[in-house]
Amino acid sequence: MLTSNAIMSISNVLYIYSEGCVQTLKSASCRIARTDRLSERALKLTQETATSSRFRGGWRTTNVNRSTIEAETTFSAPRDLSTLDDHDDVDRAPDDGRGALFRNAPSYLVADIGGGRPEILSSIRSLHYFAARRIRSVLFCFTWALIHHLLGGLRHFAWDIGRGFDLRSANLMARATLIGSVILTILVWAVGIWMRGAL
Amino acid sequence: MKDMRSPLNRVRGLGSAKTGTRDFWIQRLTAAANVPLALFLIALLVALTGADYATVRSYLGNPLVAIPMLLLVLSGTWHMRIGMQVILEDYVHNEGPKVVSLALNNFLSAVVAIAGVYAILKIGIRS
Repeated sequence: MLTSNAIMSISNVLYIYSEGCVQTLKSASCRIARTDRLSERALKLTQETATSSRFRGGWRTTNVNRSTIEAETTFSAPRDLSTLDDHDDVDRAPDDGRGALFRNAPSYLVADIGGGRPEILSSIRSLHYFAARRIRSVLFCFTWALIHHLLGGLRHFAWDIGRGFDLRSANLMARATLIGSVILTILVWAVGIWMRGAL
Repeated sequence: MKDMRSPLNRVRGLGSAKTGTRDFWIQRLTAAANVPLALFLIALLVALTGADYATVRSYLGNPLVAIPMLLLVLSGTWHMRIGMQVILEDYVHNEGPKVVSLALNNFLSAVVAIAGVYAILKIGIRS
């Protein structure tokens, strides 16, 4: 129980961490898609803002940069761009310094360098690919830990009603918990992948 | 007769937790609640793997999903708090660190619970 608790905590932390990475990269690639479709005027304005505010330094730079992109997108982008927009900044990012810097660093880079965008784009894409792979394996581990903990709890329910105290059934239940959790996890994901798209 | 207390009364409160069986019962109660709720969460996780942000958001915005998730956050963090508290009571032997770690455990659980509830309500109410 203690082990599965520890694994749950670790996989939780990993999950939250990788989730943060993926969100950052997602909003970055979203922004890139958006920046790609922006009019010349918007890109130029972004670059001007980025260069002029570079000397001020600090968090403010990225905020100004972001809101410039946001404003320009709102006014100059075609309507169907809204499908690409996953409320990334306005909705979720609180305007605290670290979050803003972390989230907007890629776009700042993209807007600032300008000419070097294609390389940055592909590198972010491959990073996103790896992050997506990792999040899936972490999710797999998380579901296993959850199922293992759940089966362990069922074992405790059996003990609570006064059953399974003899050594033989106790050992049997311990083995069933471990093996059953692995089998159930694989089964759940197999069914999930098999049913993909049937949602 | 030196001691007029009953044998039961003499041993009461001498365990590492110093209290009665309330936490024990709530741990079982939340465990029972967590069984269907966790199964629901696993089904949701597996079903929504690979789905895009808008789809996940619309699912979480549905009350039929949001309410079980809220219940799971509350029941789960309560379960988590008691579970960690039992471990701390059993394995942290010095009184000072024990009190501090028990307090931190309560704070952590409260933060996790409130953060989860806030996130679900935010998605549910905005959509």
